Amino acid sequence: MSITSLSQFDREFKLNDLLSQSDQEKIESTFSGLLGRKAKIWGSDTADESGYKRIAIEWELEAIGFIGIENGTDQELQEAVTLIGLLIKSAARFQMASDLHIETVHADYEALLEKHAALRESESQYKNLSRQLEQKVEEQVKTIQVAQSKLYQAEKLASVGQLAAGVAHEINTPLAYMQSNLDSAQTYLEDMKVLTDLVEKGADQTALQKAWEDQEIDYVMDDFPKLLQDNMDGVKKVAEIVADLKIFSNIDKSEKVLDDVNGRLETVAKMILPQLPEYVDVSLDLQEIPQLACCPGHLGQAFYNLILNGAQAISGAGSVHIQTVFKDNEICVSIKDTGCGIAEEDLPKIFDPFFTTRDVGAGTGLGLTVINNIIKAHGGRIEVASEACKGSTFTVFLPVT
Amino acid sequence: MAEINPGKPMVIKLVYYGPAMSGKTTNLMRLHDLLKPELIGELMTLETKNDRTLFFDLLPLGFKTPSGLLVKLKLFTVPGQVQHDSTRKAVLSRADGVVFVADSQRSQAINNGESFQNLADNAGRVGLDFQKLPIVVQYNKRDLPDILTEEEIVDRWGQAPWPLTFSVALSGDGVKETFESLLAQIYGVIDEEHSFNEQHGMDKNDFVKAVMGVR
Repeated sequence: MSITSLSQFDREFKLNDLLSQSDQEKIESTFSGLLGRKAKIWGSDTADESGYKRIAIEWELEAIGFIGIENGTDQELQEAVTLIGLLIKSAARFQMASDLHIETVHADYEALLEKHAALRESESQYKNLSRQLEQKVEEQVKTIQVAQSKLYQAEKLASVGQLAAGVAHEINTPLAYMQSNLDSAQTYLEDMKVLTDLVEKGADQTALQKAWEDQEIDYVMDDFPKLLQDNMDGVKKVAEIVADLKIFSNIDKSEKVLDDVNGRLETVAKMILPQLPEYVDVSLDLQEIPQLACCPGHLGQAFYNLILNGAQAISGAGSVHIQTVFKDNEICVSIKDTGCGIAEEDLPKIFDPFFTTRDVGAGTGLGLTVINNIIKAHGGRIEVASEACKGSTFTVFLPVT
Repeated sequence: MAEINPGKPMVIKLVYYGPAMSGKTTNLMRLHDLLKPELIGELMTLETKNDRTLFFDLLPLGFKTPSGLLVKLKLFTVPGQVQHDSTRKAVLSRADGVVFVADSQRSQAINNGESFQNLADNAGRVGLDFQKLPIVVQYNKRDLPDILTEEEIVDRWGQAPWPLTFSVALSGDGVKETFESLLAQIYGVIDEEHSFNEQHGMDKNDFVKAVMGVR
């Protein structure tokens, strides 16, 4: 409803606006009753009534109607119009006040509607904004997830890289002395060639004897077999290392094969040992356990990381003890270190991705996450017991099905 | 703007606007006493509370032109208190001219400024062209101590297009002059719109005299 269709409080009133038809009739009958003659009220906008003495009813400087009294005297008319004047004044006050009130209420209502519309407008803008924000957040989350999964893969590969570095060192040592031995062998052959050349030329015994002594052939004959034996040992050692490396092969394959967990632990321990400082002692207590259907590469990696973690927790002398037990149809592998332990408040968080107590850049915080995922993939679980400054024990439970 | 229709009076609506307690109702009371037009009604005070106007006051005046046209002037006051803004806005609707009654006391300077701004805002809201609306600015209560001097007031309002008047409404000083100043502006508008002089045989002087009453 628009304001213009309302009654304006300051409009010009007609008689009927201020006195209703029924009120007019009541007044007429009151006067008639009092005077014993007919009385009549009519508006100035209606047809004039005849047969009455009349007087104007004024409102706001104008005649808005008349009261007529049959044979009325001036005094009667004057008194009648005074009374009606009081009535219409009171009615006008009420009418103006209520019209003004309604006008005000409608104006307030319209203002509220406007505000409401403005609010709705801004609400829809905010909704739009929030939709865009959600979309952006989603995109960001996707970006972060991609980055995280890359990090996770990198962490998986990092331990392999660490292993490769250790293995390279292991292979380098025999390679170095085999190289040196082969150099010596070449020199020995040259020494012997001097002698064989003399024999070919038909040199005499004295000359041969002299050359024999000059070339220290006695020594060559003594050292050559040793040197060959050394190289045989070196080759054997390299072959062993390569054989051990195979436990980490097929690391990306997830087919399960029956495997001996004890043997795997032994190999892993053997591979780790050369990478550890001398003051860290690694001991094994492996009891009889059944074979396990598993992904040997993955499991090997998990054990490798657990043992390495334990060893890295140790500063100064200490030990990592590895134990296997078969109990309640589960293979329990416990790896107990005498390292710095884990703070109680950190314990619930250690498997969370990106949780790390190491310095920024020193660890991704994904190591234990990877381990936990590997064990879970085998239907198993990890339990941790730790005491600050005394060490931690990680126990892996693997169900045998 | 006031319309002229055959058989109907011409109604001119004038509104006394201004901050609370600045003397708007007192202006109307004095005008009721001082003006002697052909027709003058009672001052109707619609509702008050502790002497403060709640709705409005209304004083009707009128006269007949030589041409026979009844000209009615309805003088309204608005409630000055801030919380009655909706009522103020409704009373201001359809106004043909405004007397802005300011309180001369130094302490009221901010209230005057806010109320005048409110007049400008509300005029816009009810569809009045504030630039063309006839307005007189009346600085009332000149009899009180610690008031702005006339120089200060002229300094402040000198650049504005509206005539300035000074008054003591309680005693009636300046009340007629203020009203007369507004009438002169009103005449300019109705003469332009309705060729008032030509059609109804009254020039500005006649018009002002008819409203004020000759004494």
